[in-house]
Amino acid sequence: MIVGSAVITSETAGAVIEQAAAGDELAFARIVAAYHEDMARIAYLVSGDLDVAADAEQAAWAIAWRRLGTLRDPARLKPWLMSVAANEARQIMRSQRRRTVREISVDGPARSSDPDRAALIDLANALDDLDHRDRTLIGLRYIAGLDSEAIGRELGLSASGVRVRLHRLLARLRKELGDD
Amino acid sequence: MTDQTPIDGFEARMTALVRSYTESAARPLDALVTARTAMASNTRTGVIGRLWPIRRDRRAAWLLVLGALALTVAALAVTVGSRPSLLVQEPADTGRIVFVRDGDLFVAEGDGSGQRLIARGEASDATFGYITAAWSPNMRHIAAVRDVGGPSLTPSLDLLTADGTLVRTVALEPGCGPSVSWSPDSSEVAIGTCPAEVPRDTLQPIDSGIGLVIAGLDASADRVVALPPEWRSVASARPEVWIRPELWARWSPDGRWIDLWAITEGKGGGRYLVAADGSGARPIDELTSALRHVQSLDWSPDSRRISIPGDWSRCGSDLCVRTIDAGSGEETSFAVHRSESGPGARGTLLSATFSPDGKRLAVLGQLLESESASTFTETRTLFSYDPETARFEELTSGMVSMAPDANGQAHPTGPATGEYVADGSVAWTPDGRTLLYLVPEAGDAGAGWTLRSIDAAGGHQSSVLLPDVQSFDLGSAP
Repeated sequence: MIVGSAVITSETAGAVIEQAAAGDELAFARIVAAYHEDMARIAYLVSGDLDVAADAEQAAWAIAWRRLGTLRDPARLKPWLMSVAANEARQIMRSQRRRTVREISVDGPARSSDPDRAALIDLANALDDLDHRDRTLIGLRYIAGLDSEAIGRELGLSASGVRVRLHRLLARLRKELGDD
Repeated sequence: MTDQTPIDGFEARMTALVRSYTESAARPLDALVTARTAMASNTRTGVIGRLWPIRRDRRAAWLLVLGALALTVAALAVTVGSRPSLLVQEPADTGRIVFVRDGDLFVAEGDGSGQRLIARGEASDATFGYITAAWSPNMRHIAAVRDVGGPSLTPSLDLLTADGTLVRTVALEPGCGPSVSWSPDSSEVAIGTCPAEVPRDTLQPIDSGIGLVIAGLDASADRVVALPPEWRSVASARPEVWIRPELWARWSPDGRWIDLWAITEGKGGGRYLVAADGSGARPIDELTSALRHVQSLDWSPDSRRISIPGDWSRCGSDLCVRTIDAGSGEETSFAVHRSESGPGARGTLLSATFSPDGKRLAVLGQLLESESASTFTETRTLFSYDPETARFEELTSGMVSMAPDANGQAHPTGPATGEYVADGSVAWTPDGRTLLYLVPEAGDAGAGWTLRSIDAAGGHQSSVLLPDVQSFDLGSAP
């Protein structure tokens, strides 16, 4: 069910947040509609487990509802939600001490933009070698599309620290994906 | 909102790949049902909390906490202010620091006070902004390397006055982040470069094209120093190199030599002394005989001696400090610090830095020990060494566990513990009493660096001088 516009712009974010924080379930549903997909993707990237990702996303929305009223800057809504989802995925993995065998789906609709399967396997192997923080960094950058400043604010790093870390990660991934 | 356009083709590929990889998680859902579930799952307390005037109550509570904190801080200030300083009673000469933070250029006093922004590097995701900076020996100017942006790392050299006024900009070819070193008379800067198209995220030495550029405050003095034709590369794009600007090209205090690390055809990497007047170059191997690999060196203040850190063949897991005569190569001192480690451990001296009076060395040692079949620990220890007494004073240390990835490259398995001193970051204050160095913030080098200081005599805890520092240089007025 699509609830109003699923797109929340910088102009409308403040009003939607305020309404949702005041208990307006339709406003909160708009936020869910706008961001749930990226949150689920990031949770999956961090955990490597679809069930954990689903649990993490559900937990993240409960947290989001509780703490939405404390969000002072509407521009932080997206980065904040993404890092909450990543954090919940990490917490679940840690509490369950789960070791994941990453599965790569071979089903689903073919898309002209899909990379080949070998690259996906290489990416999965590369992700296995990364810690949760680095996977979160990858998710915030390549799923949520955040810049270094926004990522740094959510991870408690400086923007320059994020850039250096990203550069190291990319150098490593280039090698593993055979792009060097 | 903060959406970011991919910088180059690989980033675009990463975006597509990551989205494809996570496609199975992107299931459609009923947003209203999800919203209602989340709202209903909150505890009773949480729901009631929203109805009560909780903000007013919380404000009162925070005021009490802040008030208590303020009283505590005031009490501490009175107490600390009345205690004798932990440093020596005589006025200390701690010099002045120029440092890079978030791509911008700052200066501060040697004790970290008086931080002041002097130049903006306009850092973004397409450019690092300022990378490294170095004081001229007379402290009147600053040479700062700035990445001007683009698909490749494109360095330029800004020559500024001490207050940040731009004197001139020297454009350099796209390539590795160059290091800079001032001539002893503060008139010109040596820049080791590797002009090549280097993708922004490639962090390896580049084996194509090299250069040694000398740029002056006055452009008429600019020149390129001829290098042997078999040389292939003199610099690296690794961010670790940027921590200290003189790590890869250094002018000797007497102005005669510029030492460089170079890759040569048929020989691999090595340290060389290049005559500043362009008359030739000599490998440091000619001055050393039992050293497997010279990473860096340091000149004594009078240019007569060179300290050579490295993997000395007869040392095993011990740390060996050797100084040699810069002209003849004769050994002037050699000391061994016995490390208490098991068989198979391997010790290396990462750096040995002369004190301003040339009488002591700040020594950074590295010990690698196997932890399991696939992991090992790296311990770094900072010492102060007195050749006259042959005494090592351990000042601080830190450790990190490492494991190799699928390509055999070692990576930390977690944050470092203790003070994991950054290689090449150790500097003496002008009065020779204190050492400055960089350690990773929260034990994680990816999070940035903190500049710390410690009493070189030992027996004291270190102090934080400046957080969030990418690189720094410490200078002292002549």
